[in-house]
Amino acid sequence: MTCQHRHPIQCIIPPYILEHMAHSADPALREMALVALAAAAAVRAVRAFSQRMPTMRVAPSPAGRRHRLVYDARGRDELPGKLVRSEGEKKTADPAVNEAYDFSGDTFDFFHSLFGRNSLDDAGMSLISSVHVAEADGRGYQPMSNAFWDGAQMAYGDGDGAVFRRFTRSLDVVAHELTHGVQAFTSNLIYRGQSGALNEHFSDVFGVLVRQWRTGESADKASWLVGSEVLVPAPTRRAIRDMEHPGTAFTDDPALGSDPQPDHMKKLYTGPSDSGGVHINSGIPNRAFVLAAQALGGPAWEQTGRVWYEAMLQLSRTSQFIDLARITAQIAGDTLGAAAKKAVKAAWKKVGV
Amino acid sequence: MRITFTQSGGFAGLLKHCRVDTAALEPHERTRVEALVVAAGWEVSWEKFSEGRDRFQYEIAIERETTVRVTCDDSCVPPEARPLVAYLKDRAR
Repeated sequence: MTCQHRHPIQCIIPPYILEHMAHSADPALREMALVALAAAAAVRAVRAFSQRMPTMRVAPSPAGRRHRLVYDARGRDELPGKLVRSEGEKKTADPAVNEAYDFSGDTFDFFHSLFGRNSLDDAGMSLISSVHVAEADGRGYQPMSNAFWDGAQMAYGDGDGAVFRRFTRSLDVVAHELTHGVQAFTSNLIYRGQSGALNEHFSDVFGVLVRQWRTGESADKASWLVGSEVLVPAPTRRAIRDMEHPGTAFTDDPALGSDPQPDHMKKLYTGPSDSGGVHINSGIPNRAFVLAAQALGGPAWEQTGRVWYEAMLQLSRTSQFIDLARITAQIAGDTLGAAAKKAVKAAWKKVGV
Repeated sequence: MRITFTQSGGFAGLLKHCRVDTAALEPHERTRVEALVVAAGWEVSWEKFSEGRDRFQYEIAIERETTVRVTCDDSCVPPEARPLVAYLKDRAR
């Protein structure tokens, strides 16, 4: 949900001013403030409820099967923008539109063919993407160096051209964002601290698995880099994250600095930024996943991916790293046998969980 | 007036910081920054996040007689505060 979707008064006047206005001697001002405060309370209630019940914001597909809609935000931040390609329509001249369409289709096919999942909600919801999303800076709009899931759809920026390129270039970025959607309908892990880092972890895992599945990479030869296609090449940067070797994706880069991801619990980030390090501490479970996938062998989506998918369904909103370690070991034992259980436990032990 | 700014999150999860001490700025720059802070209109601390994932997150502390702290994601920045956030983002490394 963005500010544009809220009551206009709620966006323009901060709540503390509205509360002050509600005590005004002017009846008209008082009434306006009370109406705005009531609207704000209603929005908060809807948001709190929709976080628990994401089905509130689902756009159902007409036939209950794969249904992609790609919009062009045309360099603005209002979503979704103008509809430019719907399911079954021909390619356009815009590569961002075609990438969003093709890669969201690959992600749908991955979850459907491997896990029998019918879209993000498992009930055929439409996959809505907006490309050319920009960032408002109060004077105008700048190309957005980001991609995000807003709770109902994907949004992709074109990058600044100096460090970041358009985010639709990368299948693992597109699949990462869509996996946030899958999570909203499954474990819906709270986006803070370790549960938030697990939320990011699952998006990285299925982001790269969709790419490995699409290109037929086996776990021992696979690339575990995330988002390498969206970076303008430079000797100081290889990708946005490296799941196999967290903390090494970029080093002393003039724009990016050095990769902050830890590869072991001993280096766990405990600061307040990034909602307690959701994009930082995901390095720890990411490495555990790669170690497990390499130990189990074969294509990572076939065995390790199935274990992690099942775990994603079983976790609760507040689950921590130790919970995922316990559940994945248990599922591996139940479905693949004692040797697999031992390998998964060893992978977690190696990262200090 | 001192302003401390941290940007985190986004798909890349980069941490960027800057600190602006208006006493150390050239007069025209000081006037500009003070105007941006006034336009933002933040008199009390607040925190707000949307249900989005991979949004940019901002932590802003404005130290005057009292300190105001704002923590939010990019979708929750009010329009009148965007020029201030853009100014700080430009300087964050």
